[in-house]
Amino acid sequence: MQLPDPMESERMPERDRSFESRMRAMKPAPATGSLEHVLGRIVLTAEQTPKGVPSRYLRSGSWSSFGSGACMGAIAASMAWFLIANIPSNRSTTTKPTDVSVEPQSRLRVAEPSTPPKSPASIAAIPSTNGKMVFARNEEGLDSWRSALSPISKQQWDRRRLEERGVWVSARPKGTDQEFSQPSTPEDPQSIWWLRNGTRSSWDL
Amino acid sequence: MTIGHSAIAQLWNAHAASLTLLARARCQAADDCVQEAFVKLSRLPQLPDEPIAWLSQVVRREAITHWRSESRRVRRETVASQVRQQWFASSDDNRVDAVDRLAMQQALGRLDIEDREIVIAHLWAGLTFRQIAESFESPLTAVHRRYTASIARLREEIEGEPRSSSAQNDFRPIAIYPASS
Repeated sequence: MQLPDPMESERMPERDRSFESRMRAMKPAPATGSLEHVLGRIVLTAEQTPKGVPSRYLRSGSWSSFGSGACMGAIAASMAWFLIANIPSNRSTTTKPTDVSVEPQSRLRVAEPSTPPKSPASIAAIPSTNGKMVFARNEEGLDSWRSALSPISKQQWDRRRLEERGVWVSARPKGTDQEFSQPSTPEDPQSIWWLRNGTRSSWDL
Repeated sequence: MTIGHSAIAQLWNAHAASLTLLARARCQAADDCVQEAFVKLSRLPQLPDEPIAWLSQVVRREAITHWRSESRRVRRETVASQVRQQWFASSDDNRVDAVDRLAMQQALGRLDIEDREIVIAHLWAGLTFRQIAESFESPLTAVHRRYTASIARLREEIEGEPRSSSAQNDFRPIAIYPASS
């Protein structure tokens, strides 16, 4: 139950109160986030195993050797599964969930390496188990770095018209603050995986 | 028991815009903050008593986390980014006294971060001062004082009319929080 607010009736100078009412009439800009993204992640969570990993993506024995790293691997697997699940139905049939496997180093492997994307229609980044996170930004550098835990929806990229500006994808050690304007080389290799024009591609760092 | 998708969607449609504005008060990754808050909401066994207050609190915490990681790296980019991102929707309100959206956005941007959050939380997210005080873990009277002082300052900046000396004395913000950088 909503309790009465004891301060609502506090006095305020009349011209401030008038100004306040004009401010209140202003409407916030529409949310830039995506309800579809939220609901997709909710579905994903509901279908996870207690460890947080869709069990069908785990290879037997592959998690026991790296302890807490399994958590990040779980996220990686979940991310991949979520992204695949969100591919529109008219896209390539090569993007079935069973195409993705999780290996002991939690590298998400895909068949064909290619060049980094310049203007992806949709892009996603996969965290590795060794504490690295993958980020993306536009070439003007004005969009914040995106955690791999927050996949960027196609709608968001479209809205920001990043297709016209190009996007760099790269990796950096988690927790560091290094700046770079082109793909950097992480200490350990990992695959970055994204969707472009309905086709899954990869970029092996 | 879990919260149904329809309830999530209803809350999203009703509050996502104001929550995004609240997140923008502090960080650039506003959409991520709001999305994360709704995902966390979905994990609750049932809706909180005051969903918008709960969501506002989670959005603010997410924004603080983003802000800390952003601040060193992108602070210099913030001003340009804020100008690019419109905080307020265009309106067909042609009243003479309509407040200029960009001027309001810029004036809000010049407020102390927490003052800005208080104004947005009350005016656009619809939180009561009590809810804001609980969320900010600050005394109710202090929240109200900061709010009224911020409204007076915004009006002064946008309308160019200085506050009266009595009003300045009455509503000057007091230092409740550590200074925000």
